[in-house]
Formats: sequence, structure tokens, C-alpha cells
Amino acid sequence: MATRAGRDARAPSSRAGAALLLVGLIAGASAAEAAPPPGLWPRPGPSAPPAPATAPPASAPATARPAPATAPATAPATPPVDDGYVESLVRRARDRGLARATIWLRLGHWRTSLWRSGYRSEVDGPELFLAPGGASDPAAELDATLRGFFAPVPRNPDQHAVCRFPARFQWLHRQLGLDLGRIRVDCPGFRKFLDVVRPRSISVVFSSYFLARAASAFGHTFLRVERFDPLATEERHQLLDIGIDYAATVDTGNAVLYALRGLTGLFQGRFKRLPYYYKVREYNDYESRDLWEYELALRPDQVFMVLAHIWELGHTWFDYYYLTENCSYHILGAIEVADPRISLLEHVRDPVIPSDTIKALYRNPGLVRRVTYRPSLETQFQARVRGMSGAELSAVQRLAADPAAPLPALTDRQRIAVLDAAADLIDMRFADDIVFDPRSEGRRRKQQLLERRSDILVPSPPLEVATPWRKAPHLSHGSRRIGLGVGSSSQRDLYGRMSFRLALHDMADAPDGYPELISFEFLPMSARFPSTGDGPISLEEIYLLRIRHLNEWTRFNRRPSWDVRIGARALREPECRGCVMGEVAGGAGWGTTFAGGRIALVATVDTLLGWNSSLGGVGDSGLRVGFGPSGAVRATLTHRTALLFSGEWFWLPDQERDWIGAAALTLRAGIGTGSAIDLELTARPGEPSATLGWLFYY
Amino acid sequence: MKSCVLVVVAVLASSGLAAAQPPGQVYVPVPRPYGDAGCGLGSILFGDTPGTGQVFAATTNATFYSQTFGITSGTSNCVDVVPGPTSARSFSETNRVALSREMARGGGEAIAALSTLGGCCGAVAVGVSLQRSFRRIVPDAAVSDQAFGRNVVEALVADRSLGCVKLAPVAAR
Repeated sequence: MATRAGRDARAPSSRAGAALLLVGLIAGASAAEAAPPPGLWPRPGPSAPPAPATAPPASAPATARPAPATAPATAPATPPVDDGYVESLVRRARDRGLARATIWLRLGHWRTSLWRSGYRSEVDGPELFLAPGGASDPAAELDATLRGFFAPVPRNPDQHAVCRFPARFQWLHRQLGLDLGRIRVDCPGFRKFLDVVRPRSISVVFSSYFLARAASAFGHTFLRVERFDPLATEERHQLLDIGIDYAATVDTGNAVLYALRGLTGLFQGRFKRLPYYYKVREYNDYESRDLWEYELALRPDQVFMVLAHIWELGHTWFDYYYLTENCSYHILGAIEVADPRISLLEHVRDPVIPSDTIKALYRNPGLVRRVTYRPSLETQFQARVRGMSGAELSAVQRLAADPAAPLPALTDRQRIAVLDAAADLIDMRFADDIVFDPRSEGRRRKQQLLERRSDILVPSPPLEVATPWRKAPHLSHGSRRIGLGVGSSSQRDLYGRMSFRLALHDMADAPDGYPELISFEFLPMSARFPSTGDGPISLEEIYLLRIRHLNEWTRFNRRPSWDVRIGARALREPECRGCVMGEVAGGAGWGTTFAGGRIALVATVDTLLGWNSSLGGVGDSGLRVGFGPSGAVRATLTHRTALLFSGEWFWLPDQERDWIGAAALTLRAGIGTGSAIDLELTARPGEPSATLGWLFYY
Repeated sequence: MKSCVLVVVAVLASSGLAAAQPPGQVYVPVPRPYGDAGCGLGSILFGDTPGTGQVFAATTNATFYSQTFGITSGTSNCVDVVPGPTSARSFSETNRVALSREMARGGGEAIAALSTLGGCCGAVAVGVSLQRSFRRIVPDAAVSDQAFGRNVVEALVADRSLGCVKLAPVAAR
């Protein structure tokens, strides 16, 4: 056990520094680099040297220090000397009002709310609290914590308050100067955790939008803890860093149950720790999602606080709410314990959208030290084929279909490039098969291709992927949008129009920070109100979801484009003017871009199901059924100005109306990322209209 | 590189075991450290029921957690990043999709990380060596994740010029 021996050999020096390190700080980054992190966590108790002059309270009698024990964890617990020290600490903490201190409230996740008096912790498991009722009483919890620190060591030392609450211990020691000589517990579990994690810095990682999975459509955030590794000198091995994720523990495969329980907090959310490479393989490779990493400018002691607090939270759980108390929310909550001046949660609103939490980091000037980008497998593939000749591109395509295809007239360098690109392509196309099915076609092709590649005994040159800075999520426009405008239609001379969208982005919005070819709208709605003040406010439309996903059809990507919408809208047709029709519509088709991406085009074949009891629908029922083409063209005029034309037409067989359709032309000019001017011309049966408005993103 | 060779020699000499290996046969340093499920990405992504949870499914972030990944437990060999034969093997299993690609290419990020876990002298040399051993490590497409991980570690141990000191035989520990 070489590592064991090594640690023991280091022990004296780490002990010598223990109390000093605790009090402040791990003596700066330089010290942390010189000595491995075991020194981060003080070994409290007799093995620690007398605390520095500033640490012990003047009132602590020196005689109370117990005799040194060689193995604190296993030593029989001597009864604590009751000399009033603990109670005097409790009184000092009360006098100083520590129970209302920002960091204390953050450590217990106590929040006040509008509809309830007093504090209530967001933590739903009982493990985070020592006091009965501690979940709603920060002061009682503080008293119990201080008493717990000086309580006898239980048989399992990891159950001792110092070991369960190392962040509280660190903070309270800094506030009160605890007499470390009275604390006689080592924390094997927490030490092991620190020894594996060896935290050096913390990054918030944003995993970009993934529409194929409902819960990931808004993106996801988690933490990467850069691991201090004295051996990794030549290169940084991020793969061997530690990922910390907060996620729901889902025990159902049923999508409906999942949605209901996710929305109502019936899953348990827990913090998890796993090697970062799991995350890279899962997101970057398997799902082809780009990762953006935001490294935080935290001092070593602050990094320690965050990790120690995550250890505390690791014992317990929160109710997981998909829209509010979700992954992004609690990740921010964990970071906030680093420093009272860092404020993150106050900058996010419900629903908590992952990209908003990234922006919350930027509300704290200087908190983000560095942004790095980790391209997905698909992005890597795009980089490989960029600049290839037509012959090379055809060769990649041929190889992906037939790995044994001959490669005539290519140089060795080209051959390598072509084989490497084809291998990426197969891994993308057969992502499931390759992971799950050993006898699949995907596995077979990959094997054959890689054997062929390995026969050329020349290493591939490293792949350079330029960071697409404009797609960085912190540059994106706000996730919510409100709009105000005036409109005119053939029915009403002039009316006002209000709109709201809870999230997230459509193809005419400024594209910074979002996928280029996706509309993903959650709860968009709009209403008209009469300019004269008389007459009712009338609904235009409200959708639960409205998605258009343009998949660029290339020789390498044959995925269809698709669209879907679920909601209701007002009809303007003469037969049912003002009727509100509930509708579900969707379809699939084909999309492409040209002129260097400045023109995007999508065409789909859609099906429509509509319902209103007054409609002359199928068999004189209120059910409207339609089939027909739908499409959109977007021209990007300047960086933030887009012209979007969209149209749809549905044939309604055997119904009162023969067809229904709509066409709209939108010109939208972004003003910064915060707002936009929007001009919209719409034609529907019975009513053409025009609106000019202002959109505000927040 | 020079110092690295010295280390290798020292390790081989001190262990006495590797040197005693019959030529051509590789000492398998890893006992079975974990159950049959292994650490492959598939076994961990979706547990025992591959395919479920993929369409609407739930969240990626949710389907694949077991207590294995708890903050406070963390006892599984699959989650280890400290250099050694077990972590090198579980790393290889989990990273198989990418690692096999990189082996055929003779280098890459996963190979560099693997080289660190093995305590090897340099990632470049490891890449070159694994490229040569590709057909031995992945004899066919259906080779299991566990066998893949074992083969990778064996190949690293077998090429003594790599000096993967952390993969030294168990008896030396």
C-alpha cells in the first residue's frame, strides 16, 4: 500500500500545519500546490498542536486539554470535562447573532417565504439537522451543532458532528476560534473523500441543449472539481477530475409518471460524485452535446468550504422539482457557501433554467476566472471534415457504409484523416448499438474500420477545434420574454398586443448562445386588447410547447427535421370567429442551410388535430383533422437581425371548411441581447393582420 | 525518459515477480475487484434495461445513479481516479467507445488519462504501443467491456518500455 505509507510519512507536516490551515486558509494556492491536499483538512484533537494565539478563546482553561491519544478514532471516549466551555461558546454565538449570518443560513439552506413566517430549510431529508426542529430553526441548530462538536466520539467516528458537518466546523471555527484541543475525533470517511477529490478549483459545467430528451431540453449544469495531481505535469487530465452532479433519483420509466412526479417534487434529489470522464462520455460522446466549463475564481479555503458542504449535503436529499429546485438551483446553492459576498440564488427565478444560472455567475464580477469549451463528438466530426475535398468527403461517406471500401488515390495523410472522420461518424450514427449491442452492425463496422486504421502505424495529428465563442451560454438572451405591440387587422382597426413566453428561444431571436437551428418554446402566449378601451381582451394563442427542430440534411446527417405544438389558439375564420381551438400538431420533414448558413430552410408534412365544439369537424363533430405541408425560411440579415417566413396549409377532408392555413412574415432586430423590435405580418383565413412590437428578454 | 527507465528497472527489480514471468506471458495483476456488471458505460448508463428511458425518458441525469455514486459512499471501484491497476481497468471499460478509437489512431485524451492512471512514462509512447496492440486488445467486435479493460491493462504491462509502474503486479503492493 504505497499510498498509505506515503500519507503516513507526510502526516507530521500536515499535522503541524493543521490548525493554521483551518483558521484560514490553506495558506494560499502556492502552499496547496507544494503539499498535497490532505493538509486541507485539519486533524482535530490531541494530535493537533496548540492552536495559534488567535484561535483559542481567552477564556479556555489550559488545564482542560485532554491527554494525547495515539489513535483518536479508536480511543475510548473519555467523558467530556464539563467546565462550561461549550455553553460559553453557545452564548458567544448567540451574542454575535451567528444564527442569522448569511453563511449559516446558506449552510442549512434555510429560506424565508412569502406565505410562511420564519425559516424553513429546503433540505427535505432529516440528516442535515442535529436539533429537533432544526429544519425550521437555525438558532437551535447552531446551538446543537456547537454542542455536537464537543460531544463524545461515537463508535463510528464518521457520525460525529465534526465529521458530518465539516463546513459548519470550518466556518464556526473561523467565527469563534474553537479550542481544537478539546475535539478528539478523526474523520476517516471525510478524509478519504478529500483524498480522492483533492480539490484545487471548481468549474460549473453547462451541457448544452438536447431536444431528444425532454428533461435535458433546457441543458444541464453540474460541477467539475479540478483534481490536484502532482503527477500530471505534462498535460492536464481533465478526464480524471471529479464530477459532482445533483440529480433526481428516478425510479420509473413511465414518461407520464416521470413528468408528474418531477413537477411535484416526488423524486429525491441527491448529490453524486463520479469521475468526470463519465460525464464526458455521456454528454460529449453518447449524446453529442458540447460542454462549457466556467471555472470559478475561488480561493483554496473557499473551494474547501464548497466541497465540505457538498459532503454535508451528500448525507441527505432534497425534493427534486424539475422546474424550480432542480440541478442548476442546488448547484448554485452549494457554491454560495464559499463567501457571503457571492450571491447566486437571488439572481435566478422560477423556473430555473440552466443557462440563467450561468448568467447568475456573471452577476458576481470576477467570479468566473476562465471559460473552456469541450466539443462534442459531432462538433469534432464537423471539424474533421471541414476543408476536406469532395473526394475525401465521398471516401468518408463510403467508409461509414463499408469499412472495407477501397481508398484509391489518397495520400497516407489523407487516408488517416478520412478513416478518423469515418470512425467518428460511425460512433455517432450507431451510438446506442455500439454501447449496448455487441453483435450489432455498428460494432462490426467500427471494429473493421479501426483495425484498418491501426494498420497505419502513424499517430493522427491532434484535432484542433476552434471555440465557437458566440455559442457560449452566458451570452444568450434572457430565457423569458415579454412583448408589447400595436396591431391592425381587417376586423379591428387597431388593437394592442401583449405576449409572454416562459422560455426559451425561437428562430428569429438573437442566436448568441443558442443552437442555430432550433425553436424551443415553453408556454408562449399572446392576447389582444382593444385600443379604445371597450371590448374584451381576447386570447390569440397559448401553447404548452412549440418546437421546431431543423436538422440540416447533409451527406453525413440524414436525420429528419421535425416540429410539434400543443396548445390552443383563437380562430378568425368566418364560420367560427373567436372560437378557441385546442390543437395538437406535428410532423417531420427535411431541412437545410445555404449561403454559409445565412439562409435556413425547413419543410415538413404535418398532421393537425383540433377541437372546439362549435367547429364543423369530422362527421359534424367538433373534431378537426388536417394534413398538409408546413415550412419556414429564415434569412439572417445581420448578426442579430433575422427575417423569418413561415407558413402552413392543412387539407380538412370531409369537414365544413375545405382547408385552413396561415402564413407569417417576421422581421426581428435585436438591440443588444436584452430586447428586440419585431414586425410581424400574418395572414389567416378571415383576417390578415400586422403588428409592430417591442420584445424584452429577461 | 531516462529517469523513467530507471524507475521501471527499480520497480521490476523490487517486485521480483514481473521478472520471474515466463517470457511471452503476461501477469494479470487484477483480481476481480467488482461484480460481473463491470464498469462499462452501457451498464452504468441504463442499468440492466438498456433502451428504456431513452425516448422521452426521463432525464439522462437521473437514470443511471445508484448508491455507487453517493458523495459519502464512493466505495465502488468503478469511480476511482487514483492511479492503479483497478482504476486503469475500470477507466478502460467506461471509456471503451472513445479509447478504442484513440488506440486505432495512436493517441488522444483518453490515452493520456490512461497513461496517468497506469503511471506510465509518457502518453505518446503509450499511444504508439496501443496502436500496435490494437488487434490483440480488441480481437473482435463482440469482446466484452470487461475483457477489453483487462486486455488494455495487460497490453500496457506487457510493453515494459512504457514503464507503467502503477500497474505493477499485485504481489508488490
